[in-house]
Amino acid sequence: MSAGCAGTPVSWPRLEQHALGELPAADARAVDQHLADCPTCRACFDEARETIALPPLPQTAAPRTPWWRTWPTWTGAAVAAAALLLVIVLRPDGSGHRAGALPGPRVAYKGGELAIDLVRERGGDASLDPTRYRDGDRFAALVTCPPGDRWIDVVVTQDGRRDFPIAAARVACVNRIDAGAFRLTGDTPASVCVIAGDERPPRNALPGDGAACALIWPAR
Amino acid sequence: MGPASDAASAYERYGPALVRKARRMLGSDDDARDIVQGLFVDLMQKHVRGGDRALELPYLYRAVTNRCLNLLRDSRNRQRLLEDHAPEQPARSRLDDRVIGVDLLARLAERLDARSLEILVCLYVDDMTQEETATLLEVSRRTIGKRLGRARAALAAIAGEEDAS
Repeated sequence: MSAGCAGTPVSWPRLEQHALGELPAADARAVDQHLADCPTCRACFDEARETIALPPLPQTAAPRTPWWRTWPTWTGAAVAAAALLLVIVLRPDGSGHRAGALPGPRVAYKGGELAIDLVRERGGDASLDPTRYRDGDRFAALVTCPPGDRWIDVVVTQDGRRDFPIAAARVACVNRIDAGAFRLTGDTPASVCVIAGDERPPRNALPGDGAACALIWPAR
Repeated sequence: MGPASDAASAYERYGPALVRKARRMLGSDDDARDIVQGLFVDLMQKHVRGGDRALELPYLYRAVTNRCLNLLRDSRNRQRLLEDHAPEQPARSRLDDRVIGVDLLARLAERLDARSLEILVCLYVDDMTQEETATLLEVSRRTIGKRLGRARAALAAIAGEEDAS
């Protein structure tokens, strides 16, 4: 638009609400009156009625109650023993990928939680927190970190090689920041870690403290 | 039409409006869609239900503002957005025909606190009145005035740097 509104413009949220028929009748009449006299706002209103195709949302979104909160405390020792057994049984499968050495997708960090959630997009479908990938699948990384300004960086480790597919960023931490997207290729397991820090995380260190990781396996 | 009953239906209903809003801030259709999709994945995970104001359009607008500002605060994202989308039409306020492009928003994001930035976006990108802004952000008109003063000072400083260079 090249010209401004001569009066008080109708805000974008109100224009959008009007386009959706959500404004109270009196407000809607006032907006219509303004639009009749204001070509600038009318053009914006026309824009608000345009159709936009949206990317799909994940099919399922189960509640995230940490599993350890759903178990009686007396089973703690048994759970720990079972976890240790699993780590031993599921240890490196010959690919050189040491799953047991990775932090989990949610770790305690500076009085809060650091977490990485992945959304996999494949052929128009989206899956939340997938465990498998096919060559070329696209993933969006959603990062949760304790409140405050922090640096976050995403590192993908595959075949012993580390890649940083998303630019490191200094962000105001909230729940599930959209850190960016990347693709996984090949047919070997990949770990996707988010590293957080007060300073820009060095890229020559392995993910450890201050990292949360998700492990993705190739589709069978 | 009634309000959205859950996050998925709110996505269907308000998603296009929010993509348009994010696109005005970022100048990038793909990033706008990613931002909005990420927001609703989060809302689905929290099992936000109808009646919660988090699913009302003004509050969703606010959430999108903050996610876009987070993206713009990173210099590499900013550079990528500028290189990929500079030719696209930047957001232009109808209030005083002020152009708030990706570059300007990003430079302001480096200088201003989060609340002042939110206020600036409400006023100059979303074209909200001071009263609407105060209601949405739950701050007084006086606070709006003070923060707007900071934002204008930052804008003037940026303009001064451009003149000097």
